[in-house]
Amino acid sequence: MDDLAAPLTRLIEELKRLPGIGQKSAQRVAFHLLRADRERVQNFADALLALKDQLGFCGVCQNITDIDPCRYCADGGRQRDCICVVEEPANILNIEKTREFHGLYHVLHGAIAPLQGIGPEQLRIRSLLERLRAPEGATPIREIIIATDPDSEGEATALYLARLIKPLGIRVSRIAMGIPVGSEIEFADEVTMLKALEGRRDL
Amino acid sequence: MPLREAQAIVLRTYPLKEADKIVVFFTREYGKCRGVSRGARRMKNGFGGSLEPLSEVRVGYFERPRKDLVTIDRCDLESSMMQLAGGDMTRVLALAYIAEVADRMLPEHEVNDASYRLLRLVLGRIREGLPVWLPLTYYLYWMVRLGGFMPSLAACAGCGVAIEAEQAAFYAGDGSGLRCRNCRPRQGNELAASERGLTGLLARSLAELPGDGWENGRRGRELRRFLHAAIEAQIEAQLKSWKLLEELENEPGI
Repeated sequence: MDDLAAPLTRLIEELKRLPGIGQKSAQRVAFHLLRADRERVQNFADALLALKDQLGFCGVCQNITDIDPCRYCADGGRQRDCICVVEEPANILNIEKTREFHGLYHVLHGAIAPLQGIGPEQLRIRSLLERLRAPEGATPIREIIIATDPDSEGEATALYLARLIKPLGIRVSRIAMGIPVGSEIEFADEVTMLKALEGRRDL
Repeated sequence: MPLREAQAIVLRTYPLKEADKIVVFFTREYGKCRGVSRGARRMKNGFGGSLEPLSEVRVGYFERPRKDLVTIDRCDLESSMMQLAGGDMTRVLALAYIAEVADRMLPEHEVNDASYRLLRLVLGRIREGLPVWLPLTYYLYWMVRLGGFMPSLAACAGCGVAIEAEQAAFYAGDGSGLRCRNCRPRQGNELAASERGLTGLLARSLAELPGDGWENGRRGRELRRFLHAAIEAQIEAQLKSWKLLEELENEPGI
């Protein structure tokens, strides 16, 4: 590293901080950018800065957005009495890909993780509860779908939210868990199979 | 790279790279180990729900020369923490705390049969439906005793005077032991005689202890705090899951 020019070393060090990028990958990207024409590098730098300058949180659902409220909250065609609660903004994209859910979202930005000391106060739960107290004339919320990860942290978060929301008389449901499509029952463990049986449906 | 197989209890996991996990697991035969499970965070993976904390598993792994991390080849679930928690928030937090205590207190690659049997016993009793506060208190008491740093309950850690069974005794949050009224720490809590008396109960086998009176967190609360302070003083670190458990304990009705 001492043999490289200071700006190149600096870029490599910055790239190495990104997830999944080690020394060799960082060097490859740095040399690629060095060889690229100035306009392309400028576009790349602008795109990075725009992330910080133009994006913020939606004041309603806490999704990451460049407009407030975000396009899901502002869309008058969506079902406004149902909110799907997710851990991360990226989860919304997966749900949207199904084209089956037409309600609103709420992003918690994490899950209750006792082993990491992450409690409910570090998540965007207060803003969710504020949404449930609909002002006069607004559509009351009838259902909350909890779409947190099917692991111990996601389950803890779901349980916590259910404890808070159920007393408000709002239906609280949890996305189904079980056998992934395309896999085989033969390889399912007991807890996955149990969850699949619990979440079975009539045909 | 010999393949090792062992009965194990998963203590915790950390995300690694795009789709892998680092898994900390406690085996009866080889002590606590850390390993990489490749692709464990993908939707379709061979590990299923077996890597959730406090799952009891049969694990197969490869050790690599001069490497701390083993490579986990397979992990067959025998009993799941998600079933153990039974949809109960108190249990979820108590189990997380038990996992954290085990992870922080147990040294790596050191066989510890007594701690393994203790953990299995406690998880088994929780699975049977025993109110979680009793096995939790039992676990803390025995981890402190097995660790060899149980503070004396019979003598003041400050002046050495005997503390009689019915006398008031106090402790500070720094795990410096029990104190008499004269040596009472400025910001200390009282460990009532009734709470100190629970240690006689906890010295018996958990299998013999009935859950009556342990339905809420009131019984044994101060003893748990006392033992928790002793553990934190021993490991010289804070246990992160304790705060959430204490908040829950303080909720009315818990």
